[in-house]
Amino acid sequence: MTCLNCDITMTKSEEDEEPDVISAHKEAETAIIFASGVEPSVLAGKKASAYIHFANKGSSNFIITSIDGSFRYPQDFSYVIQNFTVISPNKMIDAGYEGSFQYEFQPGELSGGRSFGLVINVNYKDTEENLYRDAVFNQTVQVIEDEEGLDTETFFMYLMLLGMSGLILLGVFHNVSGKSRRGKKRNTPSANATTLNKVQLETGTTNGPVDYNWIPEETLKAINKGTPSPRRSPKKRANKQRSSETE
Amino acid sequence: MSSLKLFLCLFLAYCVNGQSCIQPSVSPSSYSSTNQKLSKSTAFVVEFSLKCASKTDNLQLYADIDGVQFPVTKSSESEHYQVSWTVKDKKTVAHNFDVRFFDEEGYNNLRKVIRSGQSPESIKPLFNVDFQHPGLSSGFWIKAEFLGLAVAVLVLYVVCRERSQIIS
Amino acid sequence: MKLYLGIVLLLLTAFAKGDDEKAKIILVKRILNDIITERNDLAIEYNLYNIGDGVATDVELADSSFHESDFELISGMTSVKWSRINAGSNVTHAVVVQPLRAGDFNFTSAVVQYVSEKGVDVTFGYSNEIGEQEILSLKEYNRLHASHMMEWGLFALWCMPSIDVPLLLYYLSKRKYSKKVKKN
Repeated sequence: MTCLNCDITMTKSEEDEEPDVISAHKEAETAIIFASGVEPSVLAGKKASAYIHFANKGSSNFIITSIDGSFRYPQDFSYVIQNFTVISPNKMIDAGYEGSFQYEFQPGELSGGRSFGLVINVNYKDTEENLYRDAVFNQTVQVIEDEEGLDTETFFMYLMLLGMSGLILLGVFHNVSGKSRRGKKRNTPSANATTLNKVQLETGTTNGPVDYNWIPEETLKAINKGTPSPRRSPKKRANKQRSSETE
Repeated sequence: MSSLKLFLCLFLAYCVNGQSCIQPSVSPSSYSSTNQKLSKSTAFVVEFSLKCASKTDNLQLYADIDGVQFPVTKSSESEHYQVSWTVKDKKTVAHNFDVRFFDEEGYNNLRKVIRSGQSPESIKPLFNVDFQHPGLSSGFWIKAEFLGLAVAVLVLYVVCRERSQIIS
Repeated sequence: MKLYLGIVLLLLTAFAKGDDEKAKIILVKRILNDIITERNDLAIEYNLYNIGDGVATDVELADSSFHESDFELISGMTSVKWSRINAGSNVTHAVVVQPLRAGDFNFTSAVVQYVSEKGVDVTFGYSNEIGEQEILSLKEYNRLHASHMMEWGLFALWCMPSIDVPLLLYYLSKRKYSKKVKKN
């Protein structure tokens, strides 16, 4: 019997237990203003500032634990696109007092020109550790493209185009001048190999005069006669050996 | 009836006398940020202590600086006043500021004149303070590293020239 | 003319019923400096925004977080008041101090008190807390940001021997050689 009862109570409490919905405390009033005025004007990639006002109209103290912001999909605010840095002031606002907070957030650079739902939440708790959350800002904003940054992009683009065109021109010029230079080289006689003039192409001893002073006389005679040194030609060596053998 | 008359008279006296300063004598001091390395923004502060011949209980002053009006704050304790403004993220150049101070009536007249498009110079201020802003600077205009680079390039040029002379 | 205007205004204020126009002041405290150094100026800016519908009267701002032992007041007053701030408008206040010591310092809130509505008690509000900021020592600041002319000068001085000696030798030999060439 008792089990039945406790079963019923258990199911009842389960039914009563709703998902944890943290809402605002009715004795806490919040307001927000942006650096650009009441309506936010956010630039993509630049820091935007929001100033949040928290008035404790109740009789107990509140502690502001954190303030967070995020960009949501404009058509469906439960889908988070970008989360911004959370600040944790952990500040105690006494009963009857007010507090101000500054929240800075920076939309991503690629979010320019699009509209997002901006949600800024203030999370606070009271002295009994009950948690509360107040959506101080919950509207769609248009993120403006940052005009300044575009200039450096285009500047570097032009610089790169200049560089590449310069490179191409250089290549073409080198090709053209290279061909003409090779043509020029064939006509001029090549000078001595040991000349300091680096422009002349090295051709060895085929065309120019050769200095024979260092060769001993007999070998020189032999060369001029047309008979090479016996060491050089294998045929002649074989003949010489046969002639020496037969002798 | 007589009490009403008395009340009206007192009110008239208050209207005429209470909100203005007669024969002001001012001893001002001013400040402006000058070091750009410390802060990219400039803060301007003009402080002064005011002595009037008349009694000034609820004197509310306004300052006009280069066409922009600011309210003047008063110290909680003494007869010391201050007007301050800031210029953010912009390099401010040397400028001579002419700060003109108006009382409530003068300020309303000034606003009327501005709205009607006339020259705001026509309204005479209660008194004015001049102060010179030397400009937000970041030290010597040549950087030491740049100078070092220039000297090194010069030396390199001289050496290269000599070398090419030897080689040729 | 003024008398008539005065009477009319007086009557209006006496009989008019302000329909729940309350003022709400946000006090934002900001440090204008990028770098905080000891014995160099530190500028703090206070912005008061009235985001309510009514006029805020007897607005007093007080910042007692700059004790005389830690900061020297250069310019501005830390305790000031405005007689009124209209709805939707804002005022700025600046204070310039000089930190006396290097190290970390916790910048706490300033306090504003104002009357949001006629006949209502004074409302107290806190500004935002800036938190811990580092105050650089003068040596650190000079190391990072001073123009290092002296250091470059000394560097040039130490470079001189290794450049000057070969240069001198070269010039001496060049002079000798060119003399010989001229002779020949």
